[in-house]
Amino acid sequence: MKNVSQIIDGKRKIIKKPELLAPAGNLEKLKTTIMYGADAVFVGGKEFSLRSQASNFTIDDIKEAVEFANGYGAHIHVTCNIILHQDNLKGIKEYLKTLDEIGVRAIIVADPYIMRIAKELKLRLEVHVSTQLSTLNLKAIQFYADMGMDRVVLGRETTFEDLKVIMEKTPIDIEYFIHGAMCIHYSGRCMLSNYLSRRDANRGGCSQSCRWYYDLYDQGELVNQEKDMPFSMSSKDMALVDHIGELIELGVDSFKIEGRMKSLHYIATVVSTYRKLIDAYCDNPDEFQFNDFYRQELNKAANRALCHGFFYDNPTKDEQLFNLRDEHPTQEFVIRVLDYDQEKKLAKIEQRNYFQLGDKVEFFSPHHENIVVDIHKIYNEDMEAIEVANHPMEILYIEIDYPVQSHDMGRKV
Amino acid sequence: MKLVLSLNKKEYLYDYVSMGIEVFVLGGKYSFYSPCTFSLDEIEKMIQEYPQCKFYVAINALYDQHEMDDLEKYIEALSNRHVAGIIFQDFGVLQIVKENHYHFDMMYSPETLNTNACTLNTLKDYGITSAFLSRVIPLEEQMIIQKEVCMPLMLQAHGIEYIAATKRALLTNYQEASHLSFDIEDKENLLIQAHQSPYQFHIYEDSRGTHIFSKTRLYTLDLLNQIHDFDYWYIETLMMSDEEAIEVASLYSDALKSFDNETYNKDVKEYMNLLYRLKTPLDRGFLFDQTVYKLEDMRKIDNEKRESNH
Ligand code: SF4
Repeated sequence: MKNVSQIIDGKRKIIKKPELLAPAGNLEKLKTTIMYGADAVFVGGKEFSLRSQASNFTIDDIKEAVEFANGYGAHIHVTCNIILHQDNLKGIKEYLKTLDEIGVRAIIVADPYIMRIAKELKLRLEVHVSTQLSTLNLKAIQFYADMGMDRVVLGRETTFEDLKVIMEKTPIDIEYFIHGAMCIHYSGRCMLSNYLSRRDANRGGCSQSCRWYYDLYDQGELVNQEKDMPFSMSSKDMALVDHIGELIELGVDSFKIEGRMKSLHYIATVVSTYRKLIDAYCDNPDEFQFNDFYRQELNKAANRALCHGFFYDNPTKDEQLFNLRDEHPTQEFVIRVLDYDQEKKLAKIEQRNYFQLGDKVEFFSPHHENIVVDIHKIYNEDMEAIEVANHPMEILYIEIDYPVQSHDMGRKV
Repeated sequence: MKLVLSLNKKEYLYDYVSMGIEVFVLGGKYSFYSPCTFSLDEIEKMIQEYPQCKFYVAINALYDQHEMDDLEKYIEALSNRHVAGIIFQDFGVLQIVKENHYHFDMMYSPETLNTNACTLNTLKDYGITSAFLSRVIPLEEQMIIQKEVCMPLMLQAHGIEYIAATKRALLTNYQEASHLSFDIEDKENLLIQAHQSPYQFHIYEDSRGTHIFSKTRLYTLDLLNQIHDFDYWYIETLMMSDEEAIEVASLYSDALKSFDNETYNKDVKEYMNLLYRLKTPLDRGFLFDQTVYKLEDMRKIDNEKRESNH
């Protein structure tokens, strides 16, 4: 068991802070993720990565990402987590060598052949065992440790009680999911998409067929008529926001947030919420009081109901979604701050969604508390006063007394 | 090539052995799914009564940490009873066997992951001794893998196909949420069908969670000329009636014998007629099909689908 805290100046402090690992689907999101407090970001490369529909990164993008991350002391992990078929075997060595040369910190791997190659090439980068392998016990972790792996991303089915035992004895680092969507079936072992859409889930083509509606038949008779609740296999998203302290005390090495396909607003909100929470807890764990602010923040960005996944035990009906109507709209992300003129009290902004005079906008940032502002003056680039901001990405100015900062975001209240 | 059968009833073991089948997969305390679960005593008795046969036990779930101590004892008990092999997918199972130097044939069967030769050859160096190929790859690729892999490989010959599994109680959860009445205990009679899809899947719940299988049976009875170089030809009897299991086993063992006697090409038509007479839904799975995953290929498929709907 790792020593996670120490008495400093008569007060216990956490000395082993977990890494906060977050996703990014493109460079803009990646930079925001880091600025909003992630210690590491995972991205998909164009090769050998799942989520082929997400905007995956070219080698040049990854290079830029590494350089940007270095400036913040953050790291880049690249997912190489497809399950290889015969026609995917070419080019792996060269690809891994390139990732290593450009300074990628870790690759996340699901196929043992890639694990072995990465080790044989004696690369500096770490090799992490993907959650696609649904690792749930210490013996399996030992198996990967014997293969030379550096970290295991545990399966989402791992309960807190099992995690406690695992953390006491694990020979290598452990990454644990704290937030995001989850497969309803065992990861890597679901072929619904393959059978229903001919799309290979284990190579990034999943059509999320689990979330479709299904007829249920018992002895040939239709059970669920049109008026009934549809049968669907969809999980609420996981959020362990109220258990972060317990997870830190266990010495979990990395907290993973999921969602490479999610919006900028979502990523910024989720990352900054967990950043603030982790920092507050680590600074004074014994006096830390969980504040509902954190949960409320997450709810502003989450369009699906949140749950604890397998944290306590097997999820019940309350952790599942049976109806798309259960999805709720998030608060609308309307403003991205580009600059702020202290003297003129004028923020230069990028419009992200429609807003108008009289709207209330809440600004949030990793650097300050949330503030709510009434929009009472909007100007276009020629400094002409306008009433509505209705052109996406248009550069505008708004009057605001509070000194917002570049990269702050504003959402309609 | 040897025929392998998941044993559905111990009373039929004699019949199967009389047909010439010598390799059996037995369900046990830790099986993820199996047509029948046998106790350690029953397993021991079968091994003693049929010393000419090879018995594998399916320890083919993914195991939680709190199960591991008991699982380790169970594996020790299997070793003491001279079980020949273990069908597994959790590397924790392999690790237990390696640490204790047990002499099982460790057949790696992760349902979906055995899709190329290099990975299997890598895993051979880490302790697997045979493997069950994934059903989601085309026959052509399976044959390439067979040529390049240096360990015995198993191929599904016949039976329903694994689709997905979860630890969650999906049916119980749905029943509680919807208040609809259906018989969750009725393992064989619950089916789901996605809206706008022609496929029906078996769905059932047990203490390990919820399991989804195809309704159709994969069949390869007429493909022996292409696949005879594989080591094991597996019949999945899950969801089969006793009669169907016996009929299918007999057809496939006859086919194998006629292949050895070089009369298969002449006999195969008759075997197929007999198979059709069972009137069970048949399917080729992915044997002659491909899945896609690249964005451009997925778009192409979506467009084709849209056009065919107009
Ligand atoms: S269909 Fe659902 S459960 Fe299956 S792989 Fe896709 S997202 Fe995961």
